[in-house]
Amino acid sequence: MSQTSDNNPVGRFVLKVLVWLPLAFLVWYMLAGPLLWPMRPLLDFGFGSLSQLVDHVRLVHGQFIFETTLEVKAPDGRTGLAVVEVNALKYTYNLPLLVALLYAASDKYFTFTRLAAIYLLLLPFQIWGVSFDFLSQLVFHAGPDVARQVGIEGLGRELVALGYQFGYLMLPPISAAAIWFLLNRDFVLELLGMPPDGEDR
Amino acid sequence: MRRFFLWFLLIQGVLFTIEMQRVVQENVIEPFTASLAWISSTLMKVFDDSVQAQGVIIRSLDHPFAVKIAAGCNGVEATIILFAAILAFPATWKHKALGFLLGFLAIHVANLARIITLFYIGQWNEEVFEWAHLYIWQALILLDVIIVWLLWVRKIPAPTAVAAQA
Repeated sequence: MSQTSDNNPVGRFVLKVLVWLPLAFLVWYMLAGPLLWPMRPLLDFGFGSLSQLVDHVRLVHGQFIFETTLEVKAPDGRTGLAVVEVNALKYTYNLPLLVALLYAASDKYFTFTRLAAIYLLLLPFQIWGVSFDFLSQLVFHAGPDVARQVGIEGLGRELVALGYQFGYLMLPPISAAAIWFLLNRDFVLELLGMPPDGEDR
Repeated sequence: MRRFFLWFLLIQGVLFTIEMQRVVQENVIEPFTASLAWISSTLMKVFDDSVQAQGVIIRSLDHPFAVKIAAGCNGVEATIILFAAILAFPATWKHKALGFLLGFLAIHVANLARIITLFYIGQWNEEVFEWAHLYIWQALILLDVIIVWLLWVRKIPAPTAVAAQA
């Protein structure tokens, strides 16, 4: 049995990922509040202090609620301020995925410091996803009055659309796979049946 | 490996930007997605008469439930990631073509499993459907991409042999 698994490092790796994945997802979901919390002041700073689009960002059950400074008119003529909700978990599932991939590769990642480093490495990609989701809702779904106040037009609209699609569809898996690959070059080379110093590949 | 990695990032970015173009969406992605809905419903009809596909929508005739296969659920982005990883890696075009073909099949067989399971999970429990749809299957499809790429690289000749053939 052990000889079979030794001859099949990819199979052994996949089995370990499948063992770690549900556990990592469970812990991630249970700790979603604290894990998302550091993103809140950063979003507040970027969309509040810097761009003045947002008055306040709140975090409620894995959702960022952006209370904007942008006026909206109701059909009955009353005015209010636009509020946008973003499901942050859609952009942060790369954390449990990466943790499962790393734990399957090596037990050296079983330390708080390394976990914190992994978290920090993923944070920019996660902020990208949440930010472009917020912007795309303002530009494309909150009505023409709000879009006009945001002031993103022409090519800017195209870039927001592309940034949103890229942040939702590509960045979560790409970021997890890329960081796993970069942190485990020797392990990947071992899986590929190559020597650790295989720079030429 | 560094060169491979940079090429991989560049190629996937270019392919994704091409995929997002309206002309590509209308002429390639949407018909392809509709074909996935048709294949999924045809497979489900083997054991469930109440399934019907219409364009990119699969609906149940017995329950008030339907799923729309949207971007991210058609396996195209996973295919782009795999194709970029294969294109960026030094191998002969013959081996790359074989990798594309087998990788495409592996991803879309898994993706059909995703669509079919989500269709039934959604009729059972909405919360579990959200979880499986947004997180679990996304992770499993990426794992599928990684496995296919690792197996492909292990099967092809070493780069020195590739250089000798060229």
